Amino acid sequence: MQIDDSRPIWAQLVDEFRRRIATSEWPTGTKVPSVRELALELGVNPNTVQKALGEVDRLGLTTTERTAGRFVTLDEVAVSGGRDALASASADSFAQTAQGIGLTLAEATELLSRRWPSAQTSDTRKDAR
Amino acid sequence: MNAHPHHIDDHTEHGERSAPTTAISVTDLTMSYRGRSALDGLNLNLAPGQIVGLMGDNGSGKTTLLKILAGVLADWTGSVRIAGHTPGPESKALVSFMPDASFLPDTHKPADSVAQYARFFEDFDRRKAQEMIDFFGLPWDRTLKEMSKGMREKLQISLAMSRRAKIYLLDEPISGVDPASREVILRGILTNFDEDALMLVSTHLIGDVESIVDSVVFLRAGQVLLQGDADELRAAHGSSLDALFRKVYTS
Amino acid sequence: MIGTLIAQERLSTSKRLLVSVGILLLIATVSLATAALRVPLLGGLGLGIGIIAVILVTPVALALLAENYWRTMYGQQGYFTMTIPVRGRELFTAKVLYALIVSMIALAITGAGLIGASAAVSISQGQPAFSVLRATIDTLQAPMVWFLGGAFVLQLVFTVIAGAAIMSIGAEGRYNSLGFGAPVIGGVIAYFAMQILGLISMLFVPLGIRLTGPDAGTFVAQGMLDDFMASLRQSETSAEVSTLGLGIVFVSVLGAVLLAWWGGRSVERHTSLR
Repeated sequence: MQIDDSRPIWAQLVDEFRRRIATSEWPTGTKVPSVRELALELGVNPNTVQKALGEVDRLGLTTTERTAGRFVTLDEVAVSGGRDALASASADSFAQTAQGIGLTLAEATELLSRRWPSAQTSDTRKDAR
Repeated sequence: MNAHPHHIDDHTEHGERSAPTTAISVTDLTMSYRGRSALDGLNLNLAPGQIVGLMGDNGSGKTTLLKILAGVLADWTGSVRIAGHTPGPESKALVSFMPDASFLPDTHKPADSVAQYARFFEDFDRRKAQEMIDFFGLPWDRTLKEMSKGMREKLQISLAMSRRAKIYLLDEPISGVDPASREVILRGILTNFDEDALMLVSTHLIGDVESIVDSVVFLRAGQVLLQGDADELRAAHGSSLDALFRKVYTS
Repeated sequence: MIGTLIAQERLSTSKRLLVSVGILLLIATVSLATAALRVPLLGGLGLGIGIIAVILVTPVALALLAENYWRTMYGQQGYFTMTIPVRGRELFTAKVLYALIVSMIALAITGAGLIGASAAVSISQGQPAFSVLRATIDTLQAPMVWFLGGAFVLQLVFTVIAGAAIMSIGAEGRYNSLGFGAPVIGGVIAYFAMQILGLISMLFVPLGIRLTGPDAGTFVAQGMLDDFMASLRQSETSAEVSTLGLGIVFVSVLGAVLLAWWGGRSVERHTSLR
């Protein structure tokens, strides 16, 4: 991910971690990488990662066990809720832009179905990982 | 890192640590060079467990402050406490200082410098230093004289970071190195930073360290102009620290 | 820690010291050999060069030590030295102790070299090796030889301590804008101060060594004031100096103690790296 220096980094990390859980990049029930690993991977301060993970805990997407570490929740509802939230945010953003250009819902839907296959490749690559 | 078995990576409860609440406490610190004041009644308190960016333009007092904290500059007035100690042998045992100067003999090869650190600093982790030197890809068979500025800088960082110190003072650690080296150096710093320590990194190019700092201290004319949590400042001003710095300094 | 510090001094100076002293000794050996063997043309010159080379051993060692002191304490390497967790006084003591050891060895080498030179002269004259040395000692008399030796040692100790102290004082924040100029000025001031104090003490401190007469070589409770007054009264300079004032010994010892204290204090409390 690309860090945007003009927004609080911890909030960007929360979004990133939610995305990873929603897309099963971090599958349910698996161990979340350590703070230090994430800090190194993303090139950010460990305390910031810690804070973001705390927020993800609070959202119910991960749980921390004192000795074993932090795991992605087994609660499918929470995960799918997270996926919905992520998808909704993305759809809202698309809808706003589409309305801004003056598209109707029908036109936008048509556009989306037309463009869908070309976006497919990157999605499958992500799933394959 | 293996030397710290008790530092589990994922500790969520910060409150469990029994570290002192301030690692550095400076009150009314004034220092002048032949009548020209470099620090002018500076006050600063820094808690351990964070990376702090010490920002300021040239002449703002960054280097002077770091030198005083490191105990290599005397004849100031005010109060300075480093983990409870005034600058002296006790504080020096806890402080790892990397000045903006090439402080190792030209004739040294990396192994000579590692040995020199090992002789004088009880908290020096020789294996860690060797790992970092390898991580940076430095040549073991070359003397410092035969190394580039960037290589020397990396060697100095390897040594300074390989002390298990309570406080790290890095003066312009990434000045004069290419962007690729900068990434590697920041990575080296992040990998080896002990989470209970305090790191104070000075720079006049905030963009360079923007993503790794917890909080920032802006100095101007020997005083603290602004101090705060990095993300809180970004949220409050809706801009990067770099942009905030420019705004604050041009106003 | 003192031991580690002294070992560090050895590491950082031994190579240069050995090379410099080695070159001087090589020059001295070759030169004195030409003198001893009366090599045509070279022989006469050889004695002079040999003596100069052995005498140079001590000042060259002192110069290298001074350069090392300045570089490792107040140059860029000072940023390492001054962050070692030891007291400033300990640092100063270690540096001075090491310099004293090295300079005493250098002085011994110079002494041995001069004996070698005297042997070269003896051999060149076809006499036993130590005949010139014996003759010299007989002329000076044993107590005087000991006195001269002691004076050289004392002078060297003073020089080493004063040199280190003056460099440290000169590197304090209030003077360090002058760079190495500060200790140079300090050194000149100290030199003249010692000359004046030395002269005064030789005149007025009532302890001396008799130089002439039947009791030559013995200590007397008398300075040089009497001789000095006598030479003033007689317009001609024929008045012979019969006693050498030893007040300067006290001045040197006191000066060395004072400067050792001041230098240690300077490192401990006023170190200011630029």
